[in-house]
Amino acid sequence: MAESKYSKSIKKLEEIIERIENEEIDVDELSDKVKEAVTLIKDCKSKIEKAEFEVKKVVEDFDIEEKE
Amino acid sequence: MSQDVLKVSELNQFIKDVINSGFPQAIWVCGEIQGYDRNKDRTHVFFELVEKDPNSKDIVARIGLVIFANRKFQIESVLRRSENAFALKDDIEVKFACKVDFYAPHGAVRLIVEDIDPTYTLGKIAQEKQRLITLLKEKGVLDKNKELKLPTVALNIGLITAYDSAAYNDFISELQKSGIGFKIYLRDSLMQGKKAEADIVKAIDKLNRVSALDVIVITRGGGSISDLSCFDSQLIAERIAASNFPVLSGIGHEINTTITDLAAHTYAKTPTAIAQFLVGSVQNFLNTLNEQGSKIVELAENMIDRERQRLKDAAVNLQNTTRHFLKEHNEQIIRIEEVIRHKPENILAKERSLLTNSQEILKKVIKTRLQNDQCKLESYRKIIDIVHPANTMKRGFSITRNSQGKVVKVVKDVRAKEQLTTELMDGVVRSEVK
Repeated sequence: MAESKYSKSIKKLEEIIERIENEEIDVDELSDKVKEAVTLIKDCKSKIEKAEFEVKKVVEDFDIEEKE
Repeated sequence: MSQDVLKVSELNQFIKDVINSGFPQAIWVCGEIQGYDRNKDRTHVFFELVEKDPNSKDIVARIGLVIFANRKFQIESVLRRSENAFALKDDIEVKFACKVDFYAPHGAVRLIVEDIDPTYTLGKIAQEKQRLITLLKEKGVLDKNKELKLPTVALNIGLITAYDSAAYNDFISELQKSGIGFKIYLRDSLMQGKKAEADIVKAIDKLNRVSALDVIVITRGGGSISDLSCFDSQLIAERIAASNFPVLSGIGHEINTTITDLAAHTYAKTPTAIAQFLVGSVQNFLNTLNEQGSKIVELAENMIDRERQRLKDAAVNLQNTTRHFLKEHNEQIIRIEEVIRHKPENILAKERSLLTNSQEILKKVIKTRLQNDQCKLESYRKIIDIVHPANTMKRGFSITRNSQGKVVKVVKDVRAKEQLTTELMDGVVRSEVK
């Protein structure tokens, strides 16, 4: 199965984090990488929020159908 | 030999007298009836009794009989008293009480029937039937049709009976009363008498060629044992055994079961009863169908309830799992966020402190180095001070050079008359070698 975009983002984030945590990163690229990470985090967060919202909505729809 | 000549009438009278005195009273005679059927409606019934060879069935002896009108009624009432078990007809074995008579005008011996012993005939019929049953049983003929499976819903009925007979009407009306859609394929057949057997056999064969059939029914109403004797038939039993369809028989008789009944898949006593059997089996099926229908509905409802509950559970589960899933991802993101928020600062701070350290070290190193250099310089200066020629000269040493300016170290370095220059602490002295 092709990796979803979210999974790709997380993978990339984890790579960056690993390099930062292990302090393998060069100061030269640090700010670029942090910028990239922040963008990815924002993306992922909004995806999770969206998913949460939609799941809630779908389940609510389901409940309504049940009652009908 | 007597020389007397007799007229025929005289002779016949003489014979008659001899016979009358030879058979002073009635005697019992047994044999098989022949030629009765065609004469039975006459006032006086003339017919024959024959004796057959038990193996070849050839007639080995015969004699004429007569039942006079005055005896006919009595004999019939005897037969009626024995439950109408049989009527006089051709081919049956009977035992008559007869007077042996010589009918002079015809010159013929004949028996005048006076009485009948029906038990003899009944015994014979029963005996013959039993023999046949044993034989057919041994050949497996009686069980063959029972091996066929009666269709659960037998609606297409091949009916062998006499059209518009009481049996036919009883059977049909019982079926119609049920309101079930039976379909009748009628084979109008003779159901008694000599020709009945062949007719029934033909009907079974014909109906076996109707592929739409579910079952064949042979039925007729009640009658005397001899009426029904055509159903004690080996041929019919064998055809039933060979039939592709189950054969049901409803041959009306309270006491006896015919061989046709025994060979049939199922038998009942009357046309109505066999019709009821068919109706009953369809009704049974319908009842079972209804029960099963209700059961299916109940099972389906249970299943639907169960599945609805399962869906509900799954929905709750889905919600929980999704929440959990998203929560985990959220936590992951938060953790990442934390790292991104703080770690780069740490890194930079660390780098900064590393730089500061380096700077300090550098400073220290430079300082040390400078101090070292100074020390070295000092020691060099001291050494130089020690080895400096001025200081040596101070202690009285001087440096003498030859005319080429070369320092004179040994005598050999100078020649006579050579001008030398000697450096002293405070000036130069020129001299000449002697």
